[in-house]
Amino acid sequence: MAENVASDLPQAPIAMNTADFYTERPAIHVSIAPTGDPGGYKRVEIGAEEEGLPCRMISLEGADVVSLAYATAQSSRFGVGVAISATRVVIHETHMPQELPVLDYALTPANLEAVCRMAGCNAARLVIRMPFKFEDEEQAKLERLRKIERQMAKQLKKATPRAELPSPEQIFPGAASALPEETVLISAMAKAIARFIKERGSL
Amino acid sequence: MLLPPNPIWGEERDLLLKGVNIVSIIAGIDVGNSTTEVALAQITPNIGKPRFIASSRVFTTGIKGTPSNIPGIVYALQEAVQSAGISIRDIDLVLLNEATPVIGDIAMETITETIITESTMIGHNPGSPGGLGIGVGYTVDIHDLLAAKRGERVIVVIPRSIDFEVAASLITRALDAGVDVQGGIVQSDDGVLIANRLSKVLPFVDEVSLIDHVPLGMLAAIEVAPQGQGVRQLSNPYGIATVFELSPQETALVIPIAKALIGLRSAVVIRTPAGDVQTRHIPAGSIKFIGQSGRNITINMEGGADAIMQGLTHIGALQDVQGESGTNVGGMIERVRQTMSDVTEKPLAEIKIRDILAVDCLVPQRVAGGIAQEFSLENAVGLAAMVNTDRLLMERVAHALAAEIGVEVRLGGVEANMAILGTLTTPGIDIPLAILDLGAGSTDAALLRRNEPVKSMHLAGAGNMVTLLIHSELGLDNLDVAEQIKFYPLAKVESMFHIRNEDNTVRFFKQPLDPRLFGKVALVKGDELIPVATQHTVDRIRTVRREAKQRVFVRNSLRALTAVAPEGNIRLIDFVAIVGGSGNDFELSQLLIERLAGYGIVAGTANILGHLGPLNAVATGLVLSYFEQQKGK
Repeated sequence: MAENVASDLPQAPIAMNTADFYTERPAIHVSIAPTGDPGGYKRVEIGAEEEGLPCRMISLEGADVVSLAYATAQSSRFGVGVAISATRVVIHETHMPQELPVLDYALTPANLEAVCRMAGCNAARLVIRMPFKFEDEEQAKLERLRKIERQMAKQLKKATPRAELPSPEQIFPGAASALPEETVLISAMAKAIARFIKERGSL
Repeated sequence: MLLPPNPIWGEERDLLLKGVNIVSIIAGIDVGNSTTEVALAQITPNIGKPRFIASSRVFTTGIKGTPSNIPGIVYALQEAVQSAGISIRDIDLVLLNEATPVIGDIAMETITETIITESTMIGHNPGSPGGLGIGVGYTVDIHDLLAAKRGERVIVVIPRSIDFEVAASLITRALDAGVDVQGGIVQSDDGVLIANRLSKVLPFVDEVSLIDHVPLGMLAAIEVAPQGQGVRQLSNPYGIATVFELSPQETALVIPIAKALIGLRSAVVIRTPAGDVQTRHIPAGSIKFIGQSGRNITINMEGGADAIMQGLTHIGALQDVQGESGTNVGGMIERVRQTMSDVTEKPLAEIKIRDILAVDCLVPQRVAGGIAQEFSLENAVGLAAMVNTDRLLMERVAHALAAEIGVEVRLGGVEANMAILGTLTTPGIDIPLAILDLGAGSTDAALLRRNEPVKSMHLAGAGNMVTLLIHSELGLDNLDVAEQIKFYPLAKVESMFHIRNEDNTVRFFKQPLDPRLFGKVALVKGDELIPVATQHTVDRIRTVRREAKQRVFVRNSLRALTAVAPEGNIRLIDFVAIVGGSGNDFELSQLLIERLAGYGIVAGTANILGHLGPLNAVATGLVLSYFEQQKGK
């Protein structure tokens, strides 16, 4: 099954002893349950990388995915572990009660990549003490942004009751296809002309 | 003889046995701007003092002094009679606070505004922008990247549909082909991932949700600062001028952009042909105080809150206030007048503003034309205003209430006198005494000395104004959050098991906390933690909260006490008791006690009836005043 794929580090031993625990570089540990897709590891690693933290895959065994995650967290010097089974991704932390994981995601083949990446991101955030990302909160944020955007558009219309300035394209047909240096020049000219027209009030 | 079943009847039982049975139940009701309070008492003429049997406090329904207060009053009465074990019909008389002389209103208006008439900048603080440094080039969609000319400086625009690995390999190929990629603007949270996969260190700004608003083929500058620092080149007008080779005239135009980017970790500025940025100075206008002495003063709003308050001190008692029409302040004052006119059903011309509290603040405003929710700090003035109402208003409420509950309703005495009477039930308090009533709508002071009538002062600006300031200065989404920030101390959730309070002490929990709280700033409400939906740090929120209380409550308390003090000298006041809803604030009374100690004043929070704290002063006073009157007969 799962090979130890820690890329920039010596291979992690299957059964870790105390000496290893204290000498190795701290990392978020990830285990794959016998039923889990090893491909999930890559996504967890990516999620953690975006937050600036390293991951390491280790081989441990557990009765179920939660106790596997707990054992994984125990083996990490950060005290943070992720376990992936066929149907769940679990983030555990070494101080938590064994039966109570920090976060627990449902997994399907369709959402594997997204969920594993989210898990990696949140495992990293557990270490760096940033608020977790939640799918619903992200959605709400985006919706709020869209709403603000609409409000802004309205406000802008109100704020600029004057006629729109002509675009360079309107003044010099073909300006858009011109070279960038020329675009700047043309736009500067267009601006000057527009300003002139505006001042004279013939617009 | 039938004995009353209720155990609260004690001494009265003896009286009943003696054949004296003139026991009546009186309810004192104080309708405030924010809460309605009830004090329920038994009065037996032969007994030395009324027996208070219950009290209650609920939120006021509708605006103070309107018939819409009735549901709140009835609810408060029900709460009180329930805890006393009787029913509303057992009440013999209801006393309502007299035409509260003041109603307050608040408004906030920015004096400056930044408008960017075309999308020209992105400045924001994503959790993790990628790479480092500054890049300048023409914006190009990643699909067209390989078609870009050799040697051309480009900024690549990467929509969400492109995976970071694909993006990284496309950029690597473009770099190998000689395209001078200078950096990128990324829609998803992939900045670090892309930057890590390139051979060259390039800046990537990510989490730009509205990437479709980024114009293509335009000269853009992009900057990512090292961890723990803010952008330097793009938050500097001359830095932007250097990048885009601007003339001094054009440089003047980019000042608002630079201002909006200060303190952010990553930023993009795009130069669009018709891109036009301006700070619009809204004509701030002037405010005219008309004094009762007949003198007038006109103050320019540009002088800020201090100039306004100084003018107010000069003019003394106010007759009315007018704002210059066609300006923001004119609009604010008219709005206050309109609200008051609607409430009191009096014509606009008859609404006279009797006090104003002005407070300067810096308000984060969304920059019109920005792409990623940019804020710019704009100057603003918050105003609380107050108008006088008349007895008629409260009489209307009294009539409606009597009809609703079928009990006689009378208007009690002047609110300030009632508050003093109520406060005197605090253990250890005696005359001479000054009280500070810190409510939601107004800050009131009253002074009682032996053989002298009560002197009182009502000033605009109290709890609601503090909430408004917190709301505006932190740029919060809704007022409820601001209200909670005002009431509860802050903490940061540092692990699944512990929080760090705002005073740096740590509290551990037996059970792990909700993952949704982790890493967030939260409000400590007893054992409950409420996450605050904001990016601000604990320190920032705390500073804003305390400043708001200082600027409204402390300042107004000093104004009010000075007004009632003998010979206008605040040092001649010896004792001050704090009452009112805001007296329960967890830090306000300390702020006040500290400040008043500087004037040699002994100040403390009242404890009405020995157990109600600073609440229920007026309602209790109403009952006491009625009792004194009865005794006098």
